[in-house]
Amino acid sequence: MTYYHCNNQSFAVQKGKISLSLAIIFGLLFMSVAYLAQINMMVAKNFELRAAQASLKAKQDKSQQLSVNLMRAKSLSSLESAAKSLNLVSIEKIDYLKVPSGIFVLSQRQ
Amino acid sequence: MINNGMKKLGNFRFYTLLTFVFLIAGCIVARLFSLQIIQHGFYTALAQNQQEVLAKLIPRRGEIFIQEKGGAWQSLATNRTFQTAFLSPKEIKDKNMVAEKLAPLLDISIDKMLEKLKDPNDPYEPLKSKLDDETTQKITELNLPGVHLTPEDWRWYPQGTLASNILGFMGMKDSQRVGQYGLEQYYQELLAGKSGLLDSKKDAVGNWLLMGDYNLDPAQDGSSIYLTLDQNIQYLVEQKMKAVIEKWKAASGCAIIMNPKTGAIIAMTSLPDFDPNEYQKTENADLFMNSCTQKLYEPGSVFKPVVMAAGLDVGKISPETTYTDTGSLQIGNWIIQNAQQKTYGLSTMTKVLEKSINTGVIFVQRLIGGETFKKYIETFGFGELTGVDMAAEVGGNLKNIEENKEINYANAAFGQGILVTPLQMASAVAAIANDGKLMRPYLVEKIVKPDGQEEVTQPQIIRQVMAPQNAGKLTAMLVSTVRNGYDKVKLPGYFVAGKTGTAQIAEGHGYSPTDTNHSFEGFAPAYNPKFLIFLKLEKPRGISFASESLAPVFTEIAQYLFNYYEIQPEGQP
Repeated sequence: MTYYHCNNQSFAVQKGKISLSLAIIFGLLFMSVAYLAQINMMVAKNFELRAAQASLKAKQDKSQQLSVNLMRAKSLSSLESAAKSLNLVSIEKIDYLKVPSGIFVLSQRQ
Repeated sequence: MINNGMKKLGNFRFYTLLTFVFLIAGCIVARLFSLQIIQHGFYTALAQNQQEVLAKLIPRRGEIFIQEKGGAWQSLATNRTFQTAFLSPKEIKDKNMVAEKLAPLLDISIDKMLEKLKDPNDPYEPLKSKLDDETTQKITELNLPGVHLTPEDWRWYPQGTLASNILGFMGMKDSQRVGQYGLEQYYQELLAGKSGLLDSKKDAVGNWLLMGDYNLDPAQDGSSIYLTLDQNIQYLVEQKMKAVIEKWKAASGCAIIMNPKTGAIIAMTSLPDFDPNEYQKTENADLFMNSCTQKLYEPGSVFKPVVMAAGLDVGKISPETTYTDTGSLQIGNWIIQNAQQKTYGLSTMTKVLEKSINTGVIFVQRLIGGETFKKYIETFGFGELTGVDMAAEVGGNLKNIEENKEINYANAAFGQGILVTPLQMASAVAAIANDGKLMRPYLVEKIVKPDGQEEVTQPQIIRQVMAPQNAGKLTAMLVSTVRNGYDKVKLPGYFVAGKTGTAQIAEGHGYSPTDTNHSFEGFAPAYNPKFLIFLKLEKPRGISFASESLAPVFTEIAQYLFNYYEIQPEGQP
């Protein structure tokens, strides 16, 4: 009775050890796969980041170029040459409308 | 015997191997000793250079903006990325071909280009900075071996020469780019911001790794400044002054448009000017200075209103006070005459200004006395800095009147023998326009910090230089001066106060017989002034008086300002 019990216990311990070993092996395997997946993902994201950075830089360059063009176009020397080419004339004198003194009302014609 | 022989052979092999192993181990140890102990410093530095980043983070310099009517702001100074071309001679095989194709594009001689290419081991040879877009495009299209472009940030002034004497430029000092002259120098610290520092690691291809341990002290960008200058008025004033300088072949000119009530400078130009984008091409460094704030001159008759202000304020004269002009006046061994040796007889103080009578202002100066006269000159801000926010302003020179000599006081009464800046003169007249309140002139309306916080400049009263009622009386006298004195100032419907000055220029121990400085100061509408105009021409040729040379320019600028600010005519002055 006692022998049987001992044998049974040894088997259970053995079984537990195997399970633990398997768990460790599978755990390590899982972690390795997860690690590889993470690394792979990170590398992929890194490439995406580089591409996004390059795209951002290109857009920033374009934006700066447009700002420069806008500043040039809005500079007074450019505006003056544009005004000359369009035959625009400068205002020499302004005639102001004389507003009659006192209170008055404008009514809509019936 | 055989066994013994075999044993000896075995021992020999063993010891040979052992010796060989020891030799190799010894070599390895020696090499390691050399690498780790003797050359420790070198390899540590090499590794640090490969793996670590210790970078100075450069802040973005603040921009400078100019305003225009309607609250719009335009950039006057900004930052722009330009391409810099450089050579890597060790990558170039056909040096003649590269030199021939590149030289005309970069405006460098072929010989100079070949000189740069002569060292076959040279990895870097700079060619030209700040390439324009067209040149950059052409170099890219050529796709020459060993010719590279690298981006570099530079200060850029999109309006070219506009307000260049106010802005200054970014020059080199101790191998660093710093603001020089004008606002760039005055606001250097504010515009530049604060450098940062990054201490981190980098990967195999040199990218910064901002993970794990790193120290980052971020750079603080510079603040931007927004000017009181109006770009339309600034442009107009520059064009008008350039035209009049050319017309009368003047050596130089300057103009100031100011709001007399606040001291805000609406336009200011000092001519000839320069392009701050290419300041290196300017041969005469004096052109970098702003003659409005940095150049002293004897103002001449534009100073007479200050003498009248003193006379009115101490109660010694009124606009109707009379005296008899005899055309000249003797002080000691000196005889002082009126311009063109004219004699005016019985004259009021108003007429003294209208006809710009030298003996008349000497009469006033004598009435108030030397000490009081000197005190008023100083009260009006002469001999001290105006406090304008520009680099290297000068404060004038009043040494002559400090000698307490009657002749010097008399000379000063008509603006000779004292040295002032155009801005001091403009500020003094602005005080008359502003009920006797002397304001600090200023150029920056607000400062905007990188976080968007705004610091708005408040107008600052320096002091009350004369009573408001006396300032009013003097304004009326100056309106009469424009109306009866200058037929070339034609602004119907508006009350305009003003005074001209044609000053002699000191030369050796006397004055130049031919050269003069012309000035015109005026403000309008006289009794509720919106602007003050100060104009100056140095040594104009073929014209004798400022009332002839500058009055038409004053009229054109004033008419423009009436239209621009939509100031309606007040009646029939």
